[in-house]
Amino acid sequence: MDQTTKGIQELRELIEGQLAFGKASWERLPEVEAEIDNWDPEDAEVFILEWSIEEDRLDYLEEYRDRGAMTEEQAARYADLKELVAKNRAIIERLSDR
Amino acid sequence: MSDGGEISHPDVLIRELIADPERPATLEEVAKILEHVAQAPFNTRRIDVTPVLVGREFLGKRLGAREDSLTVHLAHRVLANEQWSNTTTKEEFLRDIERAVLHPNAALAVYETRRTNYAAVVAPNVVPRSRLGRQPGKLMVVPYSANRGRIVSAWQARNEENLLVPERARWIKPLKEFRNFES
Repeated sequence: MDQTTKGIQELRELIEGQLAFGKASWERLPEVEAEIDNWDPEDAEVFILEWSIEEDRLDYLEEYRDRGAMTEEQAARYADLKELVAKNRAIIERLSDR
Repeated sequence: MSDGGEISHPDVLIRELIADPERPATLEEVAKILEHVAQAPFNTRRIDVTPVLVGREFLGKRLGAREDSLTVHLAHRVLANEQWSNTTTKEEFLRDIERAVLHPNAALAVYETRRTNYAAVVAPNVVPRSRLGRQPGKLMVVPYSANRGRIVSAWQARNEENLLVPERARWIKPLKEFRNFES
């Protein structure tokens, strides 16, 4: 395998992981909203503060898509993720309005 | 500052600066808070591991459903966020946090939420290039609980726009000082 092919494969593996982690995080928001008032207050605050990492993840994924680094299947899953984000964004806005 | 002219304990200072938004902070007080945060221990409580990471190998062992907070945070930064390389040890992670907090351009905000006083440090990323992951950020963020006297998290951030520090937070040492720094 030449270096270019290896680089593309590694990047697609990275994208694969980021799509999975992003989906899991955004899917979990309704459950978090229902439970967060029962959490340790410190855990709740850390969760909200760290959410910026999820926004950064989306920015990275957007870049990968724009660079044409995603497979067609990954691009379709990224589109699904953006729909999920649009659906659940209000939750994180409510949680961060603390 | 106490009546005798001595600087209060940093956790008391943080509380005072939150309680009285008109109370100015001296350069010495800001420095004392930052030095205190830099030396503070990382949260030692055991916390839940995100389900997708349970069973993954990290630092030579498989992650269980609950681990100490430092392990969980570093595992996230390495495995899920790809901010630090997978060769990064806990000791190196803690050293990165300390260096970031003590960076001359580190910004400092204080705020209260959920009955807890926090200091949040936002600094240029000081992680050596050799230990950066594949998705590094330009900044480092280090929140500190003044109630419990410990650092509660740390991560790299791509930019300040995505930060979720509350709008009402009081920036004792403002962000603008390093707005245009280079990574």
